[in-house]
Amino acid sequence: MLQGAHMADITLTINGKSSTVTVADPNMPLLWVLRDLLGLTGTKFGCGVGQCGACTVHLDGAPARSCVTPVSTVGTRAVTTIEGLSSNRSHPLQLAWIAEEVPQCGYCQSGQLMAAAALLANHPTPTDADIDTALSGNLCRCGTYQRIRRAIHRAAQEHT
Amino acid sequence: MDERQEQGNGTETEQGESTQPEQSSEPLTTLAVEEQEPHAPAKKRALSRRQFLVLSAVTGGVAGASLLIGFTVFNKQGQGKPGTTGKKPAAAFTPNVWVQIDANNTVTIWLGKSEMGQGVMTALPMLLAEELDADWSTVRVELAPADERYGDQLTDGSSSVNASYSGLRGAGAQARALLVAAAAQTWGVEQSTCRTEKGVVIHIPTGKRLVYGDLAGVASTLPLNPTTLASLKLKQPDQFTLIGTRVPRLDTPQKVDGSATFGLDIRRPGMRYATIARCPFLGGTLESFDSSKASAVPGVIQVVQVKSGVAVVAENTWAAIQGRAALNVTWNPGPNANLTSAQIRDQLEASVQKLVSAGGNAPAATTGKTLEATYETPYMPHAPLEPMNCTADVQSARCEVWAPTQHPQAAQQVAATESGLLTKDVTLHVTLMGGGFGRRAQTDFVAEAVQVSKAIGAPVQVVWTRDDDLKYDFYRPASYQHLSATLNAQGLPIAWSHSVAIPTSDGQTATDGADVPYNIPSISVTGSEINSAVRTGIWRSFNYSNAIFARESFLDEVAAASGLDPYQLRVSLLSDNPSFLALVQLAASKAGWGTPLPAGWGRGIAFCSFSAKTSSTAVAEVAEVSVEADGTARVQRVVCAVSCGLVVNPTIAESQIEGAIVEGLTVALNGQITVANGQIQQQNFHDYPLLRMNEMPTIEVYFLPSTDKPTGLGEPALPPIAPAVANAIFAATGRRIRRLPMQPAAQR
Repeated sequence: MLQGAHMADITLTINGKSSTVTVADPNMPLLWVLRDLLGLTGTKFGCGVGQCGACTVHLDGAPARSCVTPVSTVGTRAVTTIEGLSSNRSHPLQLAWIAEEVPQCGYCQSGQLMAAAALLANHPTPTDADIDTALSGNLCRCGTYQRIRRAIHRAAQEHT
Repeated sequence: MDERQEQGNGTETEQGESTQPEQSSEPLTTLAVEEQEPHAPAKKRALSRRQFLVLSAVTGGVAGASLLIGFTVFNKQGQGKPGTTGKKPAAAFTPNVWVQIDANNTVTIWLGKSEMGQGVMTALPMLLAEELDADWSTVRVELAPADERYGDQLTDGSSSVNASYSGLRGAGAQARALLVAAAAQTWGVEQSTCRTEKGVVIHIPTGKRLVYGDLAGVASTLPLNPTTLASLKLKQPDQFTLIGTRVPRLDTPQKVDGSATFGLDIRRPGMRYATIARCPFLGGTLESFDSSKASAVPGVIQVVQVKSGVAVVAENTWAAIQGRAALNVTWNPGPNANLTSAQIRDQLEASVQKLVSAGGNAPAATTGKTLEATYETPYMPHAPLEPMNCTADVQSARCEVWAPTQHPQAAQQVAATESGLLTKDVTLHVTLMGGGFGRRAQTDFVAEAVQVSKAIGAPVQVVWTRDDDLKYDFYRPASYQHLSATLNAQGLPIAWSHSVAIPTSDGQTATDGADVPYNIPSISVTGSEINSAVRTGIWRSFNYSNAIFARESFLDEVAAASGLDPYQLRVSLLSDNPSFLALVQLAASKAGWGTPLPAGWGRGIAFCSFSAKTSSTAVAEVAEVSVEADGTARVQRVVCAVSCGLVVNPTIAESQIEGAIVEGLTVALNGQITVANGQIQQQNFHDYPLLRMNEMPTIEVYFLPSTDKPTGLGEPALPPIAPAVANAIFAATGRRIRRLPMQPAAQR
């Protein structure tokens, strides 16, 4: 059972809002804090070891695998999840994802979008090689890679 | 806590409990529809509900039963039986279980199949909306719970569109006819003077118009007159306005903002999270366990034994994972403690040798050059990106389950058995799922969740880790195959033998997929099955991925031995099958077969006619592969030609082909499950590597134009890619690959 001696309050900035969570284990990965404690289920569990990228979020704009990020290490860095990418699916990548009909099952797409958003922030017009580098850590079991590539190029073209 | 499940998530799909159309459970009549297909005589069928159920039972859901899905009509629309809790808006029109039109003009279509990425959430509503003449912008879709009124909800065998093609269109036509009748009654005109278009009934002589929503109230009071319904005629393909178009998928918006609710996203008040420690030895059992350390992990609530192992119940998933790691368990390894993949392979080889020496594989022709070769494939996991999971809430008199399942009715039945309740007291919600590939047609993960919930008396989500998902799968059978051929003076095969051995697997036989579409005078296909401790099950394309790899590779060997072009050889052997011939020619011409490639590159071709349930789809693929100096193959381009009847939604169809090819590339290049010391060895994506973005080829998809009834698309493009790639590597290097995977992770 929970023991008071182990409990710790941790304050995080998530999608622009401050949230304080009480955790029994400061090593709890950010993924489970988001999903189980805060109800932000858009960030997905796929492997638990940083192999698949389904759990990708941004920490101060940089992509991070939340499944291997202990919540105690987040500190003051701003956490952005898929729910915070835009308030109304208006991010250029979300629009491009819809235009290119990217998702099949959709389970990996939160992570794909977050990885792609971090890429575009640094490389507004990425090459195929840039896309390979930035997105090869994100598995898609349904095989939507070709559409993801097209959607990233589309977003880059339409919003630069 | 996120109460998304109860509040609805504001997207097109909601799975709340008050969303099912209310229906009296007693059918009054059934709907007869003339089904008119271009190449089939018009059929008129009118069976009672009892007959329908009998027919389903006899045919196992094939050959005719599918026609009737959706045709059960209920006598009192909009009148829920006493005790039902649904909140039905006033004046909603619900002519059958598939569709409801509300006064606000919303058209709700229920999905009786499982959406796991293949697009049925859009393709199936398109069928109904087509005949309803609905305004697509007013259509929303809801996932139906397990309910026999939706017919057989098992979603497998690439069968959903094919099996639903007539039934859902009939359901739409029925609704449309009643809306026309309602408009005619409202205006006091003849129905024959009215037409429909995009959600509006129009009185032709005067141009008066009423939108469907405004007619819902009147339509809901009209009797479902069988005589009228029997005269319904479905559209001819040239009258389609939705079917055949690139209608945007209805599930896309919720899949780009994180709001889509998958099985793991279910959150219930008071819900616990659990992981289960299962025996790592194939066929082993639980000896004993000590839960003291697990119970001391912060957040762990309870440790309970269930049939499959020991469940650690906690306040969150992380605590459940940590608690399980702290659990002290002793397993009894059982009878397979020393089992290895090599032993299974040897058993399969011996089984095939028996077939061959029994003469089953002896070419009938005794003259001419003879070739023979053996091929091997490993066990394969499903590895959907969303690991297995299920949420259950067992109470004293009822049970509620949220399952990412391809087999809702079987899951409901299992939940009833495990909870000790009647099926009618189990509500099984079908969630979106992060891939299925056949794995979610099993019900083991549902049984576990129900057992744990019952044991702890609280709602619980049982979460499988990736390790669990890879280790406790129902794998595609491994195979060992022997082929031989006798060639005539021109180098063409005049006799062909193919012997296949696989571990036993429910619903599959060793010879599935080994049939030969080619014009060869003497053909022998034999199979045998061995028993193995490794669990097997259905897997995208069943045994075709085994048999087609061997058949199409060996045909390439024949071409090489005869000095023939592999494409021209197939042309010769398909000359008496114009449709297969056209398909192979389409693939070759789009691929530029015969045109020069860079040094170190090769081109390979493969063909597959895939049959499952009631439909067959043919696919021809050409792969271009570059081989680097160290032997690493890189697939650069894949051209795929498909013959699948009428394409309901080209965008979704292309996605299915792309997905099958990508999965087939994992099969070809890297994928395998191995056994050592009686245990499955693979643990995560480092030792079960999936194809990644940087390995992705360009894929081009071409469909043979057709207005025939649609056939399956989810699986058929998977089997031919491995042999197409292997044949391309042979073309580039002269190296023949007879064993998959080609580049196992351990050797990279």
